[in-house]
Amino acid sequence: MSEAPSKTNPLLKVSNLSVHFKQGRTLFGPRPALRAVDDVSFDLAEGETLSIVGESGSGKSTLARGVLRLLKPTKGQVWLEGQELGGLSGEQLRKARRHMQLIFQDPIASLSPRRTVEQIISEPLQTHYPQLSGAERREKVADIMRAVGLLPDMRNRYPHEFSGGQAQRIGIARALVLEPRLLVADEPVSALDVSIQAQVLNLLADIKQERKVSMLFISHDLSVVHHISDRLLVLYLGQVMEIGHAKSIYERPQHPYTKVLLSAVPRMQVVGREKRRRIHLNDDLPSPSAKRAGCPFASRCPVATSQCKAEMPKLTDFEGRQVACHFPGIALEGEKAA
Amino acid sequence: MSVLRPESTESALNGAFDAVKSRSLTRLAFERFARNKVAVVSTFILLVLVIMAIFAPVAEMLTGYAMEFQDRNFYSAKPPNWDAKHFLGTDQNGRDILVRVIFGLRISMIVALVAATVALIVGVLYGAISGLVGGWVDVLMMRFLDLLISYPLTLIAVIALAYFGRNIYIVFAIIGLVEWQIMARVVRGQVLSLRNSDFIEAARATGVPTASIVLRHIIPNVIGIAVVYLTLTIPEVILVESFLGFLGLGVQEPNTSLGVLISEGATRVEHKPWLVFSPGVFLVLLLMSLNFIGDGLRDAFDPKDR
Repeated sequence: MSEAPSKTNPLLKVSNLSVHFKQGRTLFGPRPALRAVDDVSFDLAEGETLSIVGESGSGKSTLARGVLRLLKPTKGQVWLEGQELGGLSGEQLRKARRHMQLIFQDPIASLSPRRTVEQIISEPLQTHYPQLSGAERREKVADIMRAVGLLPDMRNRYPHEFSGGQAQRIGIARALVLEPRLLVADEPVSALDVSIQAQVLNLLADIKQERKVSMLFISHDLSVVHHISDRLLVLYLGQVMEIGHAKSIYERPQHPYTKVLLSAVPRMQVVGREKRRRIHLNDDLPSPSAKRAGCPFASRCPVATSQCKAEMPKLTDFEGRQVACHFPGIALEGEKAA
Repeated sequence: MSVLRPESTESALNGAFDAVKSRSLTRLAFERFARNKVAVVSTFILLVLVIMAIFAPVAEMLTGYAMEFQDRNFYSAKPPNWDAKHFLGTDQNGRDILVRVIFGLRISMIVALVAATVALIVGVLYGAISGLVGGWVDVLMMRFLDLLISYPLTLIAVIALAYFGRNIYIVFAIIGLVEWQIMARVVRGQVLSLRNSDFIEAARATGVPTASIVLRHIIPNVIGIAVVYLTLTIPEVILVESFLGFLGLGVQEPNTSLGVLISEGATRVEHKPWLVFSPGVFLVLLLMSLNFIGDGLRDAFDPKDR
């Protein structure tokens, strides 16, 4: 597939990013903060797609908003093209936003109900290129509408007149019209029908190829992620469990949590292959505000030891990727040893 | 990139679109309002009443009786007399009821206009600021509203009238200053829910300046609900003025309002029912038409209907 991304100069560099939410006080002092994102670091090369996966409540969306500075991170830095976003003034940050755009989960809700498609798509242009004439703007809007598979004739329609898939195309057009370097897609297809999902995913794949845009693709659905990602980041309770090339993680997951997550993906059973075992977890996701010393997954991990509960494993290189586990590659019950 | 490619249905979808004419939410709301017969009839009645109030002096010309004119032949409240052109009768001082009702309608409408405008402007600004700024500013502003709302209107009115003297415009302003509180709460709630909506976040993520977000995205989505609430506030304002007039705190003689006329007539309703009947009918018509229009607008703008 694509060549190895150059490690020297990543487009996006996130280091030790944490987003904690204060939860007010009780009579006996402040409540523990909710650690939605905890000490997350990763790079994103130019033209690369990194998928962030995890179950609901794992902090995927918060991570995206922390990266985009829609939420103020508690700790850590984000560099976009060598520029540290936290060091920018409000006005500089506002200007820098034209390089990074967001695609939303609920396509209809992300479009203002009282504005036409043309007004919606041209708003970023108006904001960042006020010198454009009306005709130039109309032309750019028409171009981008064609590029995402919408007819420019629909420019005067309102969001309520579109289906979910079409509305998501409008959202994508709005995100692309400024030709951003970084596209953050927050569950862009999970609100759509399965048949429409494929169309929108194809569109995103085309965009990625034609426009060389870097993408952070957030999803809880590993089968969706499969087609589009170069690399994969597995998030659990706001912490990185495993990060590496998508293909190798799919084939040989090393972290117990990744194994459990992958075993939950429904797949066609191929005759002659060995039967896959679904690994079940019993408990729900623990509260992200609970105090914990060790590995966040220790409470549910089928192979956790006392060391796991006491000591947080560091993200370390293992078989060409990084895994945060004391026993990377450990075999789970009913699974052949790796 | 190995991606599944189901056959594209886009072009078919796009084609089907051309047949339907595009309509904005406002236009759809207008069409729904136009289908609501009660609301349309109410609009018509309200228009007639407004025209009567604006051209009130025409009534003086048609009947030949000025508003303050005391007809010696018709002292002490005579019933309607068509030959003398006292179409709705006269009051205690021999003044023509029809003319007085129309002038009373005029005052009631001015009250409605002034008080409702005050309520709209103050309420929308206060609510929008409270909702947008949030935090402790929001808490302070809302607690101040709680404080205001706990004072009875009559008390405030009596104190203000004692302080500023009996000026009807003071009365109007007081009513407006009391009625804006609920408007402020309604607007604040709407702004709060808008503030967390995806399309506002989309605008922020694109780097749209805050002022433009307010102008382009917040205000257009608040104005609908504010207008609806306004039409429901107006009847309340008119009732409050009538109530103050009933207590003798409203407009002064020889000026009058529907409320004053009703309160005067109510004391003699057993022997001279026409004194209370005519202003009563006008007040009911005015209030009901405004209420039906407000209901119609609310239904028309209800996004859940979509």
